[in-house]
Amino acid sequence: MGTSQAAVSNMESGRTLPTLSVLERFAEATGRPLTIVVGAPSRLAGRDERRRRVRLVLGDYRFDPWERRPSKVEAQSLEADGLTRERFEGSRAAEGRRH
Amino acid sequence: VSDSKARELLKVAGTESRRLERHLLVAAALREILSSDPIVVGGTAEEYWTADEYHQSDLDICVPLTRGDEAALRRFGFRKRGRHWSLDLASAIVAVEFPDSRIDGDESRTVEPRIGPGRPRIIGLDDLYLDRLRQATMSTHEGVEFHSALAVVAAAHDEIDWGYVRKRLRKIADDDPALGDPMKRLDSRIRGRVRRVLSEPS
Repeated sequence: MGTSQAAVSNMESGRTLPTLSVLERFAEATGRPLTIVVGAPSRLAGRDERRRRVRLVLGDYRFDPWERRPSKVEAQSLEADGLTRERFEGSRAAEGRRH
Repeated sequence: VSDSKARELLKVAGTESRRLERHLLVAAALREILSSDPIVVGGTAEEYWTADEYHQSDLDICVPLTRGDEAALRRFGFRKRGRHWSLDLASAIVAVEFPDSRIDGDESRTVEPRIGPGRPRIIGLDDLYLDRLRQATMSTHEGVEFHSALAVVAAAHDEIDWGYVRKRLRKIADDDPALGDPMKRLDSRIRGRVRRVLSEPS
């Protein structure tokens, strides 16, 4: 394909980025066409769909940051966002009454 | 290091009411402040990938932290408090922890989503799952770590690179069977449960 073994090795290992014309010669030399896709949408489901699936699988289970024994600064951080211990204790009590 | 970009990101973080986005904006600012590229792991990464309310208590970041980095953190208003570096924002406190210098996994699988004016770097989905799986083996009951691993698979079962996961599980089991074998059993249990629940008619 008109290039050195070292250049091919650098390209394969990711040390150099080949130009389109080098890729074209590479494809011709190996007899295998190359397909490059740019700007393809993410296969990851949207936030709502991911959350729906998680809730379906986790059921009534709710993550409680206070179970993870937060440090003093973590506790202050949670409380500043209204994620108080009382709020989660309330949820646990309500869940307990349902069961 | 870009002081002005970091300050802009921290300013926006200070006005952000959503906890996840605020943490990710601080993570994006840390990319400008620190000398190596920091990667978000732990609960913040979990909440990003699952979109569920994990309620991360801190922002876990993997980066080798140098003395120069510590001085830079202080210059931007971070204070060392125990194992955390805390940052007081207008109406919030962000607690940052640097648990490891590198992620346990493949750095090329990280993602850099756009969050407002920033682009934090977040551990890849496959490595996050393996990390949650590893932690779930530490407990004998189905606690937060188990549900955390379950949530990752529930959210993104079709997107996880299972070939990569299997390869890494085999390597862990070869190196340390006491860890790898329980991880493989848990992986099988978690995937089975997710498949069963999601295939049930709703």
